[in-house]
Amino acid sequence: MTPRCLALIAAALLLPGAASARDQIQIAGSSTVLPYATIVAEAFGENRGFPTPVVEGGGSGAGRKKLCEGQGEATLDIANSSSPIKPSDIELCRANGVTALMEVRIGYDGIVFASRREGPGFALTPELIWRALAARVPQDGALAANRASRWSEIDAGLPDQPITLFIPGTKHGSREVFDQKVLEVGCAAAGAEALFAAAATGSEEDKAKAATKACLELRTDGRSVDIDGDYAETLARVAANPDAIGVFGLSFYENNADKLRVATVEGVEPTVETIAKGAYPVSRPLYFYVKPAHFDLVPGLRDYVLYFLSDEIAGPGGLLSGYGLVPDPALAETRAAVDAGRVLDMGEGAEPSATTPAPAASAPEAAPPVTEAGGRPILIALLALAVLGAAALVAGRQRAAQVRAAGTAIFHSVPAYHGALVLLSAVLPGALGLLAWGGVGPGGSPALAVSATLLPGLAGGAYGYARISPDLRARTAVERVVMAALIGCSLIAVLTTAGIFASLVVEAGHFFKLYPAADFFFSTTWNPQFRGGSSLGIWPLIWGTFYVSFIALLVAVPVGLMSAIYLAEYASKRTRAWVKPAIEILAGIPTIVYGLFALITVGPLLRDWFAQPLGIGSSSSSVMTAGLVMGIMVIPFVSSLSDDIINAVPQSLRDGSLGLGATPSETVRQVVLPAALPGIVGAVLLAASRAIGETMIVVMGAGAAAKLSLNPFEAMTTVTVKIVSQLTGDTEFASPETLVAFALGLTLFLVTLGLNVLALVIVRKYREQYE
Amino acid sequence: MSGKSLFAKDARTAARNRAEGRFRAYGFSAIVLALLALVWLLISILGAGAPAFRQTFLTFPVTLDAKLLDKSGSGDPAALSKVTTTTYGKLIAKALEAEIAARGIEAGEVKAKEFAKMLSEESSATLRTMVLADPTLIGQTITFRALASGRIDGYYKGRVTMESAALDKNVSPAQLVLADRLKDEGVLTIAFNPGFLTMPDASDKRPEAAGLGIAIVGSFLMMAVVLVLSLPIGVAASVYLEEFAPKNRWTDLIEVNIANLAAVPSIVYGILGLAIFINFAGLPQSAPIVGGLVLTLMTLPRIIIPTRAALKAVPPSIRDAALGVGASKLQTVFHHVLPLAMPGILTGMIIGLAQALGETAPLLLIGMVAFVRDFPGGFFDPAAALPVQVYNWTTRGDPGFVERASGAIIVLLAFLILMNAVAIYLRRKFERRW
Repeated sequence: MTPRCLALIAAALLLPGAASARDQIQIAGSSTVLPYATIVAEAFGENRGFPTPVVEGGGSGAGRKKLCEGQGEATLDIANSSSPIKPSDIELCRANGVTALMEVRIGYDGIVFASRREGPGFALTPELIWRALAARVPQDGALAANRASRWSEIDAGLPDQPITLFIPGTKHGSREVFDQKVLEVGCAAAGAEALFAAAATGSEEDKAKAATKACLELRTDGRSVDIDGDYAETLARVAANPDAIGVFGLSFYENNADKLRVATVEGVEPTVETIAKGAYPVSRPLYFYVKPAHFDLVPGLRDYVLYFLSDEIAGPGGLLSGYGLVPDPALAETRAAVDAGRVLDMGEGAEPSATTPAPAASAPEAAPPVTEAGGRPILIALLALAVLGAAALVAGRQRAAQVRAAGTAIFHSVPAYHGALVLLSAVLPGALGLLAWGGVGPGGSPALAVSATLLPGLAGGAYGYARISPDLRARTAVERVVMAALIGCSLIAVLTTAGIFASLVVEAGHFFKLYPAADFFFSTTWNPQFRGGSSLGIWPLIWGTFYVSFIALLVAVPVGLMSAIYLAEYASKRTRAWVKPAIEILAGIPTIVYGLFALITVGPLLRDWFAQPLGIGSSSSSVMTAGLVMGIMVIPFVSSLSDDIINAVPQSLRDGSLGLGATPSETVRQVVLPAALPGIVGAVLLAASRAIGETMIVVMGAGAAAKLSLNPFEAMTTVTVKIVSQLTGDTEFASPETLVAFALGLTLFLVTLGLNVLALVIVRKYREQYE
Repeated sequence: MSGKSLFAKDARTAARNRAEGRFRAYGFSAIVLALLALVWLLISILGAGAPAFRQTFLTFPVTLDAKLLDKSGSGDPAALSKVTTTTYGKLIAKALEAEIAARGIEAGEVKAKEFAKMLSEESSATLRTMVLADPTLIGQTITFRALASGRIDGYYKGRVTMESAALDKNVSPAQLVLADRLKDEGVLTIAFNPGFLTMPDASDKRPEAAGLGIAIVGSFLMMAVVLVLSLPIGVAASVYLEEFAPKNRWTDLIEVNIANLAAVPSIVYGILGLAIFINFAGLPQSAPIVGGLVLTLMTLPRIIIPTRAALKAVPPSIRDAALGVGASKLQTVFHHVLPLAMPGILTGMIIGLAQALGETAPLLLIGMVAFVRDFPGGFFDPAAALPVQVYNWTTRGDPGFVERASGAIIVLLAFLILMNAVAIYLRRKFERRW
């Protein structure tokens, strides 16, 4: 058992170099491009005789960052992106030796405004939308707070219904387009930009900046609602609210056209054709970036790029236009550019010629030798080590048996231990040799790795073999090594904690370098922006987290505690025998199941039966939804632990109380519960820590809007939701908007750690009291 | 008070007894509430997911025209694989058209060109794979069972109605009428769909073809990693802490540590995995090995706790006896205590594995959400995982994916029930009372 444990630790340490040869194309990035990329990948895999590419979401920024991590098999081939590459990405690419990138524009994504199918149609313009949403609007030549509450107040031609707009949250790529193509355009058209600029101070440049910023400032009285979830959430909100208009991607709208009525913008209805012609104003180009150096490294990569750009895929009437991608009129040029091997101009330090002559020769030499550090040398070395070990075991054992058969002396240890000792003396130096080889840098041929392993291994083995004698305390030596291994294994727990702490602290440190800690801990607005200037105050998240957990405990504590009391004090043995495990099933159900339950059952139910009739909310994801479902989940955490604790209260206390004439319930309330109170508090604290750290239920049930509100039927968000969404959103990786996830993680870790330690201390102290 | 019989209840006693009854009723209703919540949860998931196991198919003869599929007539596999799914799609469309004509089915407003839109885009790929696997089929007429499109399937599962179809760009009411007629003729059937368990994920255009095959394999590979790493490490750590560790500050620190790690939110392990295994060590994304390593770290403390309990349950007399006949301390533990504690350890291990199997949040951060169509050949190949697949499907645009997400949950729960049943069986069978 123990050598195996050691070998596994060694293997785990060596894994970094053990990437195997790759034949699948690796793609990651924008979640807008993701559906198109999967459709193409699927068709490519079916028709071209290459494996189907692996496509991942994760956001444009994260995709580009991964693309720029370096060259070679272990890195990404293609990054999907809903915005053009940023200078910071190019810098990163250059720093990591990625000197050539191809920019491929695949088409356009239309952004549409749609309301409920049953409601009236809207004819909008950017100006009207801006006037409906802006915080301040021009009035009689001056700026005044926006008080419009009905569309008809903005323009007589619009329906007489309240303004409610669900717009993409700031983590979405589509928000950037919305800002640029709708709000800024509308602001200028309304003549407000000039007023904003006039009101600002400083240089012309400062004034323009201030004006742009003021143009993007939206009203906060609930008429404009940021949706941080996906379009499906916007759809659910629109479906539930007869007055609302939502912002969608064209392809999403086309797949849900049975539920939505689309608004015209500048009199043009958004369709694949009108956007392609440029008649519909709100659209954005979609891209992917590919490393030409990988064309010769990954089979089929070039073929994939050209296949993507073929007319049957991305052209008019092609596979993707059937799913709502607007074809690029310049598709043929893009294709020709890829064919000619034209790469992006990456500024200084990039390849001098922007165009490499022949596609086949586009970058054969660029593949660095480091990538040859495949898994094979390590596997071969490990195999050699295993063979050496087996041989050492057998040889040592046999020699010991022979010596013993000679019958000259009394042996200290049985032959098996001698065998094991020879094995250890061969394998340990061998593993060290392999580690050293890995530490120096896993370059070179398998032969080098094997000799680095086998030479010390053989030497050690020979020494061990030679040492075999009746007096050798082989067992003691082996046991010492085994004991060291046992200690090593139990230290993994400490290492894990250290690892968690280190990784969180280091990355959170990067965050605090970019963003002031005081703002993070004391600001009450959470509003990440694409172009910097985000407010990343943790309080709305903390509030959401505690609100959800509070409702969860409100459900779980009474139900859990009363069940525990009933089970411990009243229930017959038989009832207890099946009820207790049945309740504990709730703890064994994966949280994703609860998440789905919240999403498809509890959320819509609460919305249709409580929130809407009472007029206090229109969202199926809400604090109440997540809290209720989470409450169900933590019932067993409260009940099981409380049950144990109540059972641990000495029977003599109960007997005394009952003997004085108290009823069982009086005994429970006045004697048992006070005695068990500290333990129960511990149980509740553990349940609270569990609720605070829960992720999937809140991701799927609580929504993603960071706000400070008391209404439990509103969507709010929690720390865990934001960790997931900031790490997988469209923001740039090295930006504070992404790194904030680590600061959030650190906060979460510390809070739950505090609760756990407190709970453990209380429970422990309490147990000692009665033992 | 005087003069009253002891057996006649005074008002105060009656009130106290009523309070007693109420208290008892609260307790009972709390249990009923908890159990009802469980039942509600299960029924709602089962109800939403059961349809995913049945799928609408269209069965009709297809003539595999050699002129289209094998122009050269050589049967050369390289030449055959040049023929794309588009050609096969046309072939299927023609065959369906012929079948409708042959059976004399009234197509109504549906144009002949739109017949094929009732089929899944997957069907042409299925047929192509079939022909490439067996080129002798070319020239023959075979009976082909094609998946119906997601909207037609949704019609028979209540997701799509005539009213919604009238507004839908992907299906028309006339197509639904035609589908009903095809059903009457027996061309369209609704049957158990094994593909849900064996096929890979599919793109947003074909929810009807999405399956759990790769997710199941991926989860299995991750569990293998967790088992192979956490069983020996967990047992070794427990043995040390329970049998050998001196009672001092260090041991106390390790113990508090383990208790804490068991309660650390799982998402934090995801951050750890992202920072250490992906960003620092450079392991591939979406690989089962990374998922397995992260889940191992998460599962270890949850295994160590029951393992220590199992070791503790072995009575000291066993140890004393072994030590008494001259065994060393390690021999005592490895030859006597461990084998006796093994059933308890295995039970704890299985329950720990079951928890790891259902874990989603950390996997989201290390990229186990990729779209993968090829089955993984090893631990380093990209794969999906069951619970993440559920999450992934709930974020897709087509409503057909929600049903599949619930169906995937049923599969996940089936695995969990199986694992827990094994654990309970082991416990019952080998449990020893000392």
